[in-house]
Amino acid sequence: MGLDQEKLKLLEEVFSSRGRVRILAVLCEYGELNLSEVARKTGLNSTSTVNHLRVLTEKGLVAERRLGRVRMYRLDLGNPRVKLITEFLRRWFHIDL
Amino acid sequence: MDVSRIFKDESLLDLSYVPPRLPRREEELRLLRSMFEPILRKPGSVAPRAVVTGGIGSGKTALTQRFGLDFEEEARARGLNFKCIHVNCQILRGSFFMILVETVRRIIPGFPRRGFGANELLDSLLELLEDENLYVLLILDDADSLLVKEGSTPVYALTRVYESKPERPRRLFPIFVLRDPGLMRNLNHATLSYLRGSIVKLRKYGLDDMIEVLEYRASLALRSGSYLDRTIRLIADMAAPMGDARYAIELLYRAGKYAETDESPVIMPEHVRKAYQSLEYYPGLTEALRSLSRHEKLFLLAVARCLERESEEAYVTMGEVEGLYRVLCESYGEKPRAHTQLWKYMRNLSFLSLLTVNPSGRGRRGRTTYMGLNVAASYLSKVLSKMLEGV
Repeated sequence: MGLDQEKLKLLEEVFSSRGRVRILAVLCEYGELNLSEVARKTGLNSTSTVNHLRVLTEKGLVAERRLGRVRMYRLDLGNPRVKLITEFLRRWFHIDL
Repeated sequence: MDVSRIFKDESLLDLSYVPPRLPRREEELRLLRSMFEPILRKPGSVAPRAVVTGGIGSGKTALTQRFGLDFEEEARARGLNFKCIHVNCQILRGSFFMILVETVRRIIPGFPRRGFGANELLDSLLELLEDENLYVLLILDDADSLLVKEGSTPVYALTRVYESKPERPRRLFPIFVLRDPGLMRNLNHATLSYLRGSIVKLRKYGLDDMIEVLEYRASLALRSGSYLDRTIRLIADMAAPMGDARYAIELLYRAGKYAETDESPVIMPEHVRKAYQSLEYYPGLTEALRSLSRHEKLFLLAVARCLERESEEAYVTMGEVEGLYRVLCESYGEKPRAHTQLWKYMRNLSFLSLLTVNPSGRGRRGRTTYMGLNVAASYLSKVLSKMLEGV
């Protein structure tokens, strides 16, 4: 049985981008943030932030909600892959190698 | 580490501590519960609100916080997603906008601080509550500053928010904590009529009340055998004329500190007398000072030191204060703020009634601002220095 190509593609798409990894790490650390805070905390410009967030939302890893004019983003904890990613990130940042 | 012979846990005499029980306020607690109890029976269908009024140190903050914590626990036990949010309007400069931002950020800490108007923010808050299926008891402490600054509008908006949205479940329940009930006269007729049946008045603590409050707090915070009945009675005698339990608790704490300094195993009446002498009575001052930023404290300290130096002067100029502020910044290892920022500090300190400000002096050339104090400069200087040194 070979690797599931779709799952492999998702893995590559998410982790091959420095910007997306940063966004995931920032959302894991700070919880829910609006667009400009995500951009500020990741050091990305706003266009890149919007693009990366769109990909992560489409892949079901990030959830978006609107409160008035504000769009807020957070990790979609209902997705079992997100649980895996947050667990990985927490361990990654809290283990002194 | 040295173990105190007096204190079991001195943090339990901190003014911000909310004890598990509130002696002599049980009736008011029950009244509040009965006012808000319909939320538990029919969540979403009722929107109770309350106004709690009483003088300084009458237990308004402790009462509303204790009620909030207990009610939150009870609501959660019944399966409601319920949160009690306590905001201090004075610390938030009496601004409705800042109060709403703070409230939303207690639910989503990453919510932006800028970019909206108050009405828009209130709508966002309601949307958020809906989205999270959350019920919020919002305690607006020191709401006097909100009423002075913003008038009727915020009270009207918060109490009648669901009138224009009758289909929405009721999720936001405000409690306004007011020192001066007279401020309610400034509310418009419609708002006032809405609140009239929801007022909880706290009477001043009398001598017996004060004794019971002190005995209870002493039993929590002090070691048994470290205080005498007559010591408690003396403190109660000193604090009863003001009816201010906060002052009584501060006296007890300070007396305990004097006993420690003397290496005495017991707080004696003499320690209380020393505490009474050292603790000038300025109601609410410590809390107001604690709410200041480090630079506001330094600025106010500069005013106090200038006036201490010029003891015959009633006012000092902005120029004199600014000069000393810079010197103080250097000695406290802080980078001084710019002149415009100092103006903002001055305006805020005046709003908090910590400073009196006169725009221009008669018979003097040019325009400058004069600042004075309502509190003894030497006392203020001593208290601020201790706070800045973290003592």
